[in-house]
This record gives sequence, structure tokens and C-alpha cells, in this order.
Amino acid sequence: MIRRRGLSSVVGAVFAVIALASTVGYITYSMNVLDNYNQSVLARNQQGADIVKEKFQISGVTLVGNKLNVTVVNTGSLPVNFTKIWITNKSATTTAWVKSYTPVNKVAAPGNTLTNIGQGVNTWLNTNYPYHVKLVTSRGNTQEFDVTSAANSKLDIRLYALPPTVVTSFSTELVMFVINNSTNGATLTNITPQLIDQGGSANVDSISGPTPSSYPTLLPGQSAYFKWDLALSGNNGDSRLYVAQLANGISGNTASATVSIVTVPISLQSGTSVQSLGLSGSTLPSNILLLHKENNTTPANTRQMWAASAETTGTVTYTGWASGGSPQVFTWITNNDTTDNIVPAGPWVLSLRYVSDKIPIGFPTADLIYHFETLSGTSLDSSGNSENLSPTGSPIVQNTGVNGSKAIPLNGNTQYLSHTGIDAHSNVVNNLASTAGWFKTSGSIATQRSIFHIGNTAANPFYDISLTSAGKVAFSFSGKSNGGSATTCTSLGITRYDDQNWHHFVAVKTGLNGCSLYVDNQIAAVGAGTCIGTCNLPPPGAFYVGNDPTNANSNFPGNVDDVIHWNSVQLTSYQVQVLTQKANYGPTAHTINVAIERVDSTNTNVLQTINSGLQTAIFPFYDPVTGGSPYNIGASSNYTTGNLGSVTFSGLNHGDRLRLKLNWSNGMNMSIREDDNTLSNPITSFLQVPDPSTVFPGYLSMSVGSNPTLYVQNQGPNSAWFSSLTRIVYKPVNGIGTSYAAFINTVNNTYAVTPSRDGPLFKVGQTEVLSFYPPSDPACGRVAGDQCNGGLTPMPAGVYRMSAFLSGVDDSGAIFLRTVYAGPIKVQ
Amino acid sequence: MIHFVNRRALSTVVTTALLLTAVAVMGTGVVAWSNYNLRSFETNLVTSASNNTNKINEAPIIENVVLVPNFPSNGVNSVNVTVTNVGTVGFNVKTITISDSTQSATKTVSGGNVNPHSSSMFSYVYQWINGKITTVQVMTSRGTVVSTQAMQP
Repeated sequence: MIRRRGLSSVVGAVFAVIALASTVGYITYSMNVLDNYNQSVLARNQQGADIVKEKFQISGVTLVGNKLNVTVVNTGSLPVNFTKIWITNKSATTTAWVKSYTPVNKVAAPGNTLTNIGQGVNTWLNTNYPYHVKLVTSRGNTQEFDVTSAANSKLDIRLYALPPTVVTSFSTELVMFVINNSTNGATLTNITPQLIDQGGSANVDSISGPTPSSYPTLLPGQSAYFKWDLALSGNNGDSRLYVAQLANGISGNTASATVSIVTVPISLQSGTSVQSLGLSGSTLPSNILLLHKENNTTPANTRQMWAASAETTGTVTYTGWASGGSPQVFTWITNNDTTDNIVPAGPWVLSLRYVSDKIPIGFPTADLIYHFETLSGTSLDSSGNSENLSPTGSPIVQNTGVNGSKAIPLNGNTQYLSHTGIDAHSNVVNNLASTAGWFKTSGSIATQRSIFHIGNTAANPFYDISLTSAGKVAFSFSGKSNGGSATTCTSLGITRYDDQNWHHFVAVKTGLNGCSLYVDNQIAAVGAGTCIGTCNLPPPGAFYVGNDPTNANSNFPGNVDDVIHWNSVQLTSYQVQVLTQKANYGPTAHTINVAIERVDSTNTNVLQTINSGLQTAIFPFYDPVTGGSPYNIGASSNYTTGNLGSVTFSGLNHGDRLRLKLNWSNGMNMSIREDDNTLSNPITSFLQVPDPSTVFPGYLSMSVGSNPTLYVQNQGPNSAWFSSLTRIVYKPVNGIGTSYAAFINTVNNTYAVTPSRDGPLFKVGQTEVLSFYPPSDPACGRVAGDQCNGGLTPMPAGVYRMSAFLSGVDDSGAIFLRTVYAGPIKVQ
Repeated sequence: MIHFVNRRALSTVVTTALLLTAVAVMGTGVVAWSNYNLRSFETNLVTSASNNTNKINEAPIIENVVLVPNFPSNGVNSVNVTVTNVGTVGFNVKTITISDSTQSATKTVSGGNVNPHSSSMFSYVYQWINGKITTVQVMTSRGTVVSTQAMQP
């Protein structure tokens, strides 16, 4: 009985084990399959994320040797591998074709610039024909652009005359905007404007421009800005028509503007515009809102922005942004008033006058800085120490620098740059020193090639950074009198750096016998020397970029860029990283968010976002030394918004204000010049709006009890006399309280104007200064028998609306009366 | 008495044997049946997972579309579609559908195999129209669909 019971248990157990094993096996297998599936899903998600993170920007497109030469900046965090170039001949006059190629030079590391894409393609392009090019990456992302042609679709081209009406012999400015609104997101190249004079009754006295002459590239959504200065003369009503178009552009893709001559009997001083006003200073066209540095009468200490010329020698808004720091926001605002103002639809332009930081913020002062942006006789030293480099072998500046900047390519044979004389900026006699820079060979090398060398005599002290015959980076120096016992750091491993790609080096002298070397932000070598005794003698003679005179055939073949030397500083590894990954001295050196808003009178509530500022505006690098003065003619660049809708600044909303906010985003720091009356071409920084229906309220101010002064100019055709009826009147801005008026006192501070005596003959073309008595209620002019000593209420402090009433008679016997509203004024 | 006990014991043994046999047969049947079902599920799971994994891993893109006029100089337009495999598994282009607002044509592709990190160009006659958006849709044999649009201005 016991045995039978055991047998059935065994049988049951066998089946149970079989069933359990099968189930467990199935579940295990299922989970493995599901796990594999999950891994695939995760991998696919990662692949999708990589596609999104892959970012690159086409920073330059040229034709070199009739072959495509594309420069691309990897702006993402992943390497970009270009697997295909598609080139489409879009000519209508030749047989169109489409070809694709696999590029040779095709991988760009994050933050790096890849150049010469397309030079290996075996197709020669005709500069007279338009081509469409598409770059394809291994992840499937693409970017497209058109070459040698302003696309085959119409671009948004606008031409404005600023101002459109001028007094005879006065100048105006024709401004042309070209907005790349291509629907295919194509980058355009070689944007060259053409201005066609269609003739007219007005005479052209002079014309100059365009400035700039062309834009090498125009990215999607970006705009190009060209201007011509011209002076016209003629009679009232004469005009001249101008048409602007693009060279190689599509037929009929033009814009036109007419400039007219107006003659007014008298006008307020206005520079070039008869519609502008002037009180104690000149004003600008109503659509030019200058960034002023004053902040009186503005809410929250924001700075003033209004259509008045700069009144000071200027100040600087320094962005002061440090990596990882809080974004800096700078705000300017117009005054408020109860009048309505309508800004029509159109693009808004922010014109900044600025210079760029020479090196990143927080770095110690450098002794030598060479960005190689110009070569006018010499290549300038941006450090301010004037140790410029002289060229040998006639090298020329080209757009071959790192990050799309300029550089001076060297042929590796006869060309190099040098500076004669060794001093405290280059003698490397201190225990510490650092030298940084970029290099890119034009081909592989077989002998040692010098990048930067101090010293011109063999068997003497020297300081040298070279590429060795093995393609390695080597840093070597000796302070010995015979140049012996050198301390040397040579990059480890077998990596060759003569691979026609950009590489960054930082050579650091860490002591009399110590060195370290960074290549592409990685520590490449640490070395120690054996010098004993006097080891800190200066190298003799001169220092060089691209040559070592003590070593035959050491000329560097290719580009060297952004060489910076500190003669007594040891850079940290973080500073090395910033120099390698953050510093940018090219066309995308600065990025700013530009927000334009309509706010309430207290500057607390945003009533309307005109330009959100979500997209960054890009500004190029401007070297302070270029052109010889800190804020030279080139130190200006514009950001143009897209075509924004019309904006109504309504008095019903308690006096709207226009607010401009610059939110520092990324890149090098810049010093923005504002309110500088010493700058004229172009003027100091401003915001240009589409022509408003009236001038934005300004920020005039005067002291209690002071004498207002008004500037006027007679534009003809008749001479005239001012009478004592001329007044300036003030009305409280809130409409409550007493109004006041000021009686005219003198002309040109010399000639009294009284009820019994008019002002002197005001001839055509003359400018006069009208001085008034202090405002009061009623107005009073001191004459014999009335010294205004009683019965008057002087105008107290407050905010008023001011108008000028001009009265007189001209030499034709006609009376002239004119009232001009000058806007709010603060009496303080 | 003893004989009687022996008969009773025999019958118990026989009964037990019969019961055991029945249990064994039924047990074997149940186990076989369940194993069969599990195998079926397993096969379905493998097939489904494999198909879906491959479908997830395949990554076709339409790298370029060229609207070719007068192909080849006979007054008939055509469309060149370049399909690139940016994924890790190969795929087979099954159909290419070309359409605009007035017409649609589905082309069955033969020899549409595209290996990882390579491209293939497919050319088909299609009377595209100037100024109209032409939509190109590529479908693989696993059912992945990618599409893009092109237009001849």
C-alpha cells in the first residue's frame, strides 16, 4: 500500500515537473524576447534623439578653382558625418543635371569647423549658372543652399529712402533689405546688390555705396542690409526713382523708392529731415529710435530710447556674460504719451555699434593676440601692445579661418609672418608662459614645420611650437645661452595632426624646466627639462608665425589662426577648454535674443509682444583694433526681424511704451556703444521701426526757471523776421492744472525781440537760436516798464506737453505761423 | 481464506495498474497538448517580436527627389527617388507612391533591397506638373512608410 502511494506521487511529480519546466521555460524565453524588443525600442529612441541633437550650420560657401568649397560648423553635441553632396544645375539655359558625390573630408567634431567640403568633388561649376546644393549626413539630416545665384524664387527685397523727402542739397540714405524667405530653407550665397537710377527731375549731387558691397552667405530667415548715401538738389516737388535688385537675381525681383525734394519756408533744425524737431539739440527721423544712456523719467531705471541724436560722448553696455552665469538683460524704453501712434507692418532693424572682446571674459591680460582678420601692411596685434606682424612672401587674407573667420593661409615655402624685436611681451623669461592657437595644414608634412617661434639665431635661447615630421605637436623651449638643455613636450600616441583639419593647441611653460601641452582640449604631453644654472635668458631678435628661421624648410603649410600669447601666465585646464570650445572670432561670435514689446506706461505689463526674441540674433566678431579706432566704421552690424505686423500704441491704454530688451544668449562678450555723438557713419546704436504715423514721445527735460532754447533753420525761399508773438507753451501731461507759456527773448542770444522790435533778418540757409524767458502763467517778456516782477506764476516742476508757436513775416510780405508739437518734457 | 485474500490483492493490483495507465495517458496528453500550445505561442511571439524589432530598427529616409522633365527626351516626365538606409538592418522597398492633387500612381518595386548605410535610386515615369506639389511615399516590405514632397517651380 505504501509503495503504490509512492508510485502515484512519483508519476504526478513527473508530470508536474514537466509542466512547470515547460511553463518556466516559456516565460523565460518570452521575457528574453521582450527584453530584446525593449532594447531595440530604446536603441531606436536613441537614434531618433541623435538625429535631433545633430546640428550643423553652413557658415560659408565659395567657389575655389570652380569647385564647391563649403564651410560647415558643427553646432551640436554629436559628431557629424557628411555622406553625400547633391549638386543640381538649375540653369534654364543649359541642360540641367543632378549629381551626387560622397565627400572625402567629411567628419566634423562637435564645436569644430569642417572646411573644403566639395573640393574633392570631380565637378567644376560655372559661376554664371545657379546651383542648388544639398548636404546629407549619416543620420539623414540635410541642409540645402543655392550657389552663385539669389535663388530661383523671389526674395523679400525692400528699398527705403531715409528720409524719403529732403531739402535741396541735403543728403538721404537708400537702405536695401534682402530677407532670405526661401521656402526651401536654402542658404543663399554671394548676395550682391545693384541700384538702378531710373531718373527723375531731381539732380544727383553725389552717391556712394553700397555698403557693404556684398554678403558672402545669407542663411534662411536672415536679412542682408545695404545702404547708399546720396545727395539731391532741385526744386520743390522734384524727385528721382531708384530700383534695387540683386546681381544674378530672378527677373522682376526688385524694390523701388522715390526721393523727393521739398522746400519749406522755415523749419526746425533737423539735420537732414524737415519733419524733425529740435529743442536744445537736433533730432532724428521719427523711425530711428536711438539708444540713450539716460534713465531719468523712465520706470524701473530702464534707459531712454527716442528719436533724438546722441547727446553725450557715449557709454558702453558691456554684456559681461560669463559661461554658466545668469543671462544679462538690457532694456531701453520710449516715453509714454496720450497720443496714438501706429507702426505699420514691416521689418524692424536693430543696429548695434559694438566691438568684441579680444579674448574670453575672465582671462588674464594677453601679451600678444593675432586674429588675422586684416592684413593692411601688417597683421594687427589685438592686444593693444602694437606688436604687429609683417608678412613675408605676400600672403593674403582669406575666409579660411576657424569658425568661419578670416585667416592668412601660408604656402609652406616662402610665406610667413614675423615681428622684429623681443620685449616684455615676448621674451618668455618668466617661469610661466602660455601660447594658444589654431592650425590646419593644407597637406601632410614630411619635415618639421613651425607654427609659432621666438628667436632668430641658432644655438641661442628659443621658444617654439611646431608640427614634427611625424605630424605630432611639439612644444620646446630653452633659456640657456646656447639653446641647450631644452624642455620639450611632444604629443603622445600616433595621432598625426597634419590631416587638413583644424586643431587647437595650448603650450604652457609651467616652470624653468617644466611644460605641458594641450591639443584639442586634451592634455597631450607633460615634460620636464634638465637645465641647470641660468635658464631664463630671452630668445634674440624676432618672433614668427609659420616659420622657424633657425630650421631650414620649416615654413608652415596651411592656416594658423587666433594665436594668443601670455608671457607670464600659466593657463588652467578650464581656460584651455574655453579657448577650444567656447571662443569664437567668426561671423557667429555673438548671439543675442532681441525682444520688442508694447508695455504699459509703468513698464510692468506687456500688452503686446512684437518680436518674441525666441530666436537668437547673430552678430559677427569685430576686432577693436581693426581700422585703427575702437569703434571704427566696420564695428556695426544689424539684426532684422521678419515681417512683423502693425502695432498700435494707443493713448486709450494710458500711454503705451515701446520696450527693447536685449537678452545676452551666447558667444563672446561685446561692448555695445550707446548715446555716442562722436559717431556718424553709422551712428551709435539704434532701433529702426517701420515709419510710424507720428514721432514716439521723447525725453526732453529742462530745469525749473531755466530759459528754453529752440534751434530753427530757414530753408527758404524767403528771408523772414521773427515777431514777439513767438512762444513756447506747456500743458500738464495729465490734463489737470495750469498751462504755461514762455515769451521769446532773444535771437542768437544777442538780438532782443520785443513788441516794438522784431528779430534780425533771418536769411535763407541760416540757423538761429531762439531763447525764451522762463515759462510762466501768463507769459511775460521783460521790457521797459515791465520787469515781470509780479502777477506771474512760474512754471513748477512736472511733466508737460510742449509746443512751439512760430510767428513772423517774410520778405515777400506773407505772414508765417506754425505750431509744432514737440512731445512730453520733464521740468525738474 | 488465504485464496480469497490472494484474489482480492490481484484485483487491487490490476485496478491500480489501470488507474496508473489512465493517469499516465491523460497526463501525457495534457502535457503534450500544453507543450504544443506553448510552442505555438512561442512561435507567434518569435515571429511577432522579430518583425516588430526589425521594423523598429529599419530607418529609411528619402534622401533626394528629382523631378526630371522630358524623360528621356520623349515628352514624358519622370521622378527619381533616392532612398537611403540610415538604420542598422536592411530593408526592401516594396512600393513607391507618387501623387499630387490631380493624380496618384503606385509603383511596385522589384529589387528594392537597400543595405544598411547605403542608398538606392528608383526612377519611374510620372507626369508631374509644374507648380504642383508632388508627394512621394516609400513603403518597405515590413510596412514602414516615409514620405516627402517636391515641386518644380
